[in-house]
Amino acid sequence: MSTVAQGNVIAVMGDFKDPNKVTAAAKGIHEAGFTKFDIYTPYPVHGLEKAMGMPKTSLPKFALAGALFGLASAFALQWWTGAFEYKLNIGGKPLFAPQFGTPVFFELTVLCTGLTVFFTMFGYLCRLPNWHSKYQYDSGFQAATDDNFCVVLEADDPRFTTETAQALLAKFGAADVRIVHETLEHD
Amino acid sequence: MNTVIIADSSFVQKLRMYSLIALGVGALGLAGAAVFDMGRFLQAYLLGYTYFAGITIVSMFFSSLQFLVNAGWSALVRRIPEIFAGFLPVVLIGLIPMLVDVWTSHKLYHWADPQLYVPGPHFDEVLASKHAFLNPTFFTVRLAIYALIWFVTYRLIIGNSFKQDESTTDYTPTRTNMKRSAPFVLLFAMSLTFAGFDLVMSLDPHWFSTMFGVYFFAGNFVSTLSLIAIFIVNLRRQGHLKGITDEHYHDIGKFMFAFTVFWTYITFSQYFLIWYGNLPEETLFFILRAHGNWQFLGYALVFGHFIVPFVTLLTQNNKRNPAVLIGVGCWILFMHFIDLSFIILPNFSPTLRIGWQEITGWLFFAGLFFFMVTRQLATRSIVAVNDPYLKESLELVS
Repeated sequence: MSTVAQGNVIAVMGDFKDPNKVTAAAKGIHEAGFTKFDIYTPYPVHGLEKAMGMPKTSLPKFALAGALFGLASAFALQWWTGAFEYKLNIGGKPLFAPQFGTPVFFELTVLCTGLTVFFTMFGYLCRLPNWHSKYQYDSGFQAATDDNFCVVLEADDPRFTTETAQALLAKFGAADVRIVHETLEHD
Repeated sequence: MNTVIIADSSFVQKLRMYSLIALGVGALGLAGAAVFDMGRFLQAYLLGYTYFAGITIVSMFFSSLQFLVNAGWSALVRRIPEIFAGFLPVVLIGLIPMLVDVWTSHKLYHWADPQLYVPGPHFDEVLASKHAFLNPTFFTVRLAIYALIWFVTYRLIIGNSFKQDESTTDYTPTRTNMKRSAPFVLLFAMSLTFAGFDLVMSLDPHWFSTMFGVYFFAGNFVSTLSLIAIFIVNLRRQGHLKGITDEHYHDIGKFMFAFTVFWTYITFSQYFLIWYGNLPEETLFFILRAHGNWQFLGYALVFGHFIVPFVTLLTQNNKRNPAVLIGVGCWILFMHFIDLSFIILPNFSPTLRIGWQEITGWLFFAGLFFFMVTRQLATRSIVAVNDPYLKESLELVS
């Protein structure tokens, strides 16, 4: 695929071949005060998120909320069905008791936590489903699925100018530093 | 690398002083208990003995487990439980009072009374059917087998681990240990389970429970992990274990968290099945413990042994925080005392009774345990300096 019509500048990109160099570059870019930048790598690089200065994920808070909801619903379900709405005497056991309730407390807590984590992570935190990326026509970006570590400084960043971005990437030894335009049309 | 021996450090000196004080107070208390009431003395003795014998045996298991799975993260930590395992001589000798009780007074193990097995007013049909297992001769043989297993393991695995300190080029001891630990882990499971049956569960010889062995293991394991955590945090604070980082805290914290949940799972499974099945030969254990004021210990266990450590160790920051780790560790060790009291003591008293006898019994064994630890620290390196995984452990990122 090649681009046939271009729009505004959306980013400056640079390529790396060495995960250690890309980690160093991430640290330098973060220290230079950039906030809107991303790094695309062929595999997860340990310590990269720390070098980029990414905040801790908010996923545990969602997980806790899901867990408490699951626990409460398990309690309500068992109490309401067994001891309130339709009282059933089974083997002379109490209509509701935490002893026999516990396996269901546990199961529904785990189920709700798991589902909450799954949908929060993929649907909200990872912004899926997302069928395209605005960089996808860049050959260096495409190579990030193979052997390329691609650093993208986005134009949305308040500190972004093409000159500063290019200078910053060149400083950390990026190859093929290039200005990327919005793709309006392609064949 | 050179061995790291901290024999003259203030850490060891302080530990020795406190352990000798605890030993003195404990010995006085136990002696006093023996003068007033021999039965009460034996109960207090068994409580303290079980507590620290469990930690010792599980320490050996922890060390073998690291060899068995070729664990990299724990190479820096592993020497601490190996030093705890130095308490083993006391564990072996300490079995004698139980044997004496079985052969003479039957104050602790009333199933040993021969009167129960002759037709007459004392005849007990349930115990008569268990007589093939629960009789003094077989009891003695079994304790001897456990003692042999533990002794041989100590010599073959822990001794071998210390041997690795002598050579930087020859890794035969470590390699041998990887092979030897596989059968030991099996033998450990059998010996700890059956030792739990014999020493603790047979206090209530009418009771049936298939979960007891693993219940006994779970409590011992989580308290051993807590003690290891407390030691590594303190040793690092004193500047002795320089390679320990927050990553090691994090890993040991995860272990403590996981086995808190495991203890809860096992404890609840035992209780739940007995509660639901409602069979007389099983419920007698919980009827005693869920009524009267023993039940307060049961509630204390639910909150103290499960909810408090669970909630505290849930977040990553808390697992990496040394102050929290020490706090939770001490708390779990305290709850383990409550747990063992809850298992052992109701057999001898229908109402809640934990007195100075039990506390001094625990203090006696605590003093003896930590004194033996200082004796080990006098000659043993606290870092397994030639362990092939040491570099990996130093660079650990969890």
